[in-house]
Amino acid sequence: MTREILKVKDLATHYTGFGGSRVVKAVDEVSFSLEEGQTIGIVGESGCGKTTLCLSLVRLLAPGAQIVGGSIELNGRDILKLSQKEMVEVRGKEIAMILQDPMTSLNPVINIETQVGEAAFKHRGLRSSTLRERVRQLLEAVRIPSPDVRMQEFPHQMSGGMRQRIAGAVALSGEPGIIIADEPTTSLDVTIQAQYLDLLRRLQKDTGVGLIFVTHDLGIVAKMCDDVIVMYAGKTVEKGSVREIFNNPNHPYTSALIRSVPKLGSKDPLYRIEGQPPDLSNLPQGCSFASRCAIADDHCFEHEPPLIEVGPRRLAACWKIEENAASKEQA
Amino acid sequence: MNVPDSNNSTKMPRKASRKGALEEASSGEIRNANKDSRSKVRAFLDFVKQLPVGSTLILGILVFFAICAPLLAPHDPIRPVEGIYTYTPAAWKDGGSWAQWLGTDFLGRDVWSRIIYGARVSVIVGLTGTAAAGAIGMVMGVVAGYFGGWVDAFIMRVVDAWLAIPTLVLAILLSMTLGASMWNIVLILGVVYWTRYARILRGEVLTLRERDFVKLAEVAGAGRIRIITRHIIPNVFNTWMVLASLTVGVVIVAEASLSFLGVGVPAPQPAWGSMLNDARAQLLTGRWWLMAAPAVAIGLTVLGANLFGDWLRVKLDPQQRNL
Amino acid sequence: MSDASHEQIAQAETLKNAKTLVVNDLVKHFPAGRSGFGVKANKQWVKAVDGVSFDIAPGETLGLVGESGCGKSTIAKLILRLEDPTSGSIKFEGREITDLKGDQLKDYRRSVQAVFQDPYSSLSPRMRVHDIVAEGLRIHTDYSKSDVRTRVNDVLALAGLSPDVGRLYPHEFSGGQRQRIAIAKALVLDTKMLILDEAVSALDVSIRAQIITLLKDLQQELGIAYLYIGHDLATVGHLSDRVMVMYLGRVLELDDSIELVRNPKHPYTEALFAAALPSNPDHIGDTSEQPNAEVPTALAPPTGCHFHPRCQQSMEHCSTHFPQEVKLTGGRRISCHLYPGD
Repeated sequence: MTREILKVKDLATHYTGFGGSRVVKAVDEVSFSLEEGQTIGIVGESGCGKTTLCLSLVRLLAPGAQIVGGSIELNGRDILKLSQKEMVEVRGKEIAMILQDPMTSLNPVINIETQVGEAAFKHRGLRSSTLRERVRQLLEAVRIPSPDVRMQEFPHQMSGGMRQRIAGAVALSGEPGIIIADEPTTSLDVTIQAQYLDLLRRLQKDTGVGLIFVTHDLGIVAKMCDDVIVMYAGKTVEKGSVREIFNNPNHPYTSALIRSVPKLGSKDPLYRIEGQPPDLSNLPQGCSFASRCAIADDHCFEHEPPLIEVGPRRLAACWKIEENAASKEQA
Repeated sequence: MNVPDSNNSTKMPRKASRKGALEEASSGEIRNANKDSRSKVRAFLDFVKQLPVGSTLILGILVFFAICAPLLAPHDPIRPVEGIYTYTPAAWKDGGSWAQWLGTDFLGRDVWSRIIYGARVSVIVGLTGTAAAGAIGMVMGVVAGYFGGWVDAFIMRVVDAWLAIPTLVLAILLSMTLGASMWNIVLILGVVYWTRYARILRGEVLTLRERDFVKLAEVAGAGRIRIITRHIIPNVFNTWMVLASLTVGVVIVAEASLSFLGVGVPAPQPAWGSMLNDARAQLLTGRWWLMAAPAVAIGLTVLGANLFGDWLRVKLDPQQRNL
Repeated sequence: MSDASHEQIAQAETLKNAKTLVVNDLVKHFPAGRSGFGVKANKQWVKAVDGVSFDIAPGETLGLVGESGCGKSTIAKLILRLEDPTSGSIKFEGREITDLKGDQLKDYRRSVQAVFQDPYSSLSPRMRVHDIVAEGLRIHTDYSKSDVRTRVNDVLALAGLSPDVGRLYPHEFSGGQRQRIAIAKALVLDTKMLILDEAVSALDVSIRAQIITLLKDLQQELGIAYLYIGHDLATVGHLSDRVMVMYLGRVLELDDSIELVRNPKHPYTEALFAAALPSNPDHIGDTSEQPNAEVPTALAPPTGCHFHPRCQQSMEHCSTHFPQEVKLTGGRRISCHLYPGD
């Protein structure tokens, strides 16, 4: 691995509502870093703060949400110190996004050429024939057949898979160092999803772009990511390399998640995590996973576990790491 | 909002709560579970507190006038005030009083009393006319949207045709054929203004019909009547309410226009529209206040109704589609 | 015909009757595009379902996988009689249901229920949970108020909910809880078959496991037949006894779910499984042999075998002839020219 391009440290994003009487800690002291050509996965269930996290990274938070602490160092400078005007220069040029729904992330009344070329025009100063050539390259890169014809067309003339690939081309247009992909394949069919993920990998290999995958799907993480951050109730509960996380999870939530996913060709009963994720505006005292945890004891309900180093490049926040490891060895 | 409740749940005996995790989840996850326990009075006060001040005040006074007119009006609105044959408000005269502070009209009737009584017509016609239009529009819109096909095509063509006729012309025509009376006016306004409901509700029903719960009702064996009354109408009711609140103002103006033109509420019943008409001749002689009084009354009422409608739209329709 | 063959036929009939659902050569064509007011343009037809046959036994789960546009949701609608088939037959407990009307149709609706994908769309937002669940009882029975209450509380308990939830509105629940309510609603009558159209797809991972387990437990307890429709192979395989793979309105392969996963034979099934996401980073399959092209639309399906333009092993006659379905030893049904009949 090479150059570190993104370093997020103790990032905290809170929502305040109801006249400031309630604070929702959607992202609570999350840290990670991303190197060139690396893929990091942010996994968690809905409401765990993963989408807020990625919106914080580009500072496109909804009104009411505020980054209240930490730093986001992008290519060596803290983007939290930039003005919104300066952020416009950063978005698309240094960091780009691919969103879940290609139907809404593309503008229905602007043709493909203009949409794909926008960032190249704005950030890379490409004009007329060079710009068109660049758009053609991008469309070819995302495997759009007959790009010359397609670039004159509009989003509604494309299939879902094609639209999502075009959203990929739009993200690549400004030659960013980082692409954040927020559930980019949820609306795609299985075979199209596999194609798209392979395409992203190939593009990553060619351009060295750093990928941040935000997803609830462990399969995507297993397939795509180098490192994984598991989030629960706004906090990092576990962090490590993808192989480590899958083969030797330290946090009971991670291991429960992995065991609760049906596996192809197996009918073994699934592990059930009982209950619901907690309400972020009203977190219980102690470990927020305790009420759903099979091994929690009174200590867990009273004290919040810190995120501690449990191995080389491995972090976990659980009081029961040793116990958990021991029980796994028994099993 | 319900912080006390959730605090309780975290203080529950932990072992027990973990064992019955599922049960706990199903009751613990439910938001606002203690809504019912909150006293009804508190809920009502909360409701009142969030009402828009201006429009509620205007409409409140209007309804108060309408209901309590006999108690509030200092004079009989139909008979001339004894011994006074002047247009000018008494207060303006030397040593005058507040007895007829808005003056008297060309027959010597107290204008203030007529304004108060006129509120009755505006309130009754405004509400029932809107309701009549809403009822026709609801039936037409729901039938068109739910049944689709040629029924839909037919109703929508009728709506198109209806919209091509100037509403006031249609109203005048109907009024002249049916004869002028307050309840005829209500009926006429219903027939004139149903199309705005029908069009929008049809659209709502078209999307509702595709929602899974409507399909599931069909799968459960529910008949058409049940689906329409239990599943469709309750779900378009908010839209209906918003439409109604935005129609009230229009209907009040329409009634005033008809009365002004002499095809509305028949004399001598006091209505703001006909008061405007009565005052027309006096305007030439400079007695502007006779015209101003009903005009201000109509203006304020419509303003109040529209402000209230806007507030209701924002409240009931979070997506703020431009109804 | 001899007596013996008569007997055989009769036996076959009873065997068939033992099935909860028998679908035979089901066809549904939709007119493409809109026909205007009284204007009949020359119509194009979308062959959403094009000659599909399968059966489901009591207590069995048949999984139905395929990509969008393969006709799987149309099949659900046909069985639920939300759409009428163009041709073919659907027999429920031996009785043809495609031409049921009025009271007979209403009677059929007592036994076949559905749970759909989106828990936010499947519960009427303006009805209390109790009324949502009780609706079937109010339509089909003349239970007294207290009987309705008892039954509703029973099925809520079956779905893992406490009776208190009855007085609340759907918006007060999370997605997983809503799906439990939908399941309770589907079980309130004497349900014999449940159509589960992507019933867990919209749920979070941990909630999904809860609902899958609930569905399995309920099936064991009540002996209901399931038709589980999904795009996620792992979930479909996990829930189903047998899995049927569809592509553009036709069945390409059908077998026992474990068998099918271990040994997919049809190139499309192979491609589907190859495209499935790994459950562990150590098992990243080789996805280089992906079918490249997009899924064609059902409006203009390719000639011959619909899959041939995307098939790695397509042969000359694949583009001209649709392969006949054959039954391999072990009972697998497949239609592919790689597996010709006798």
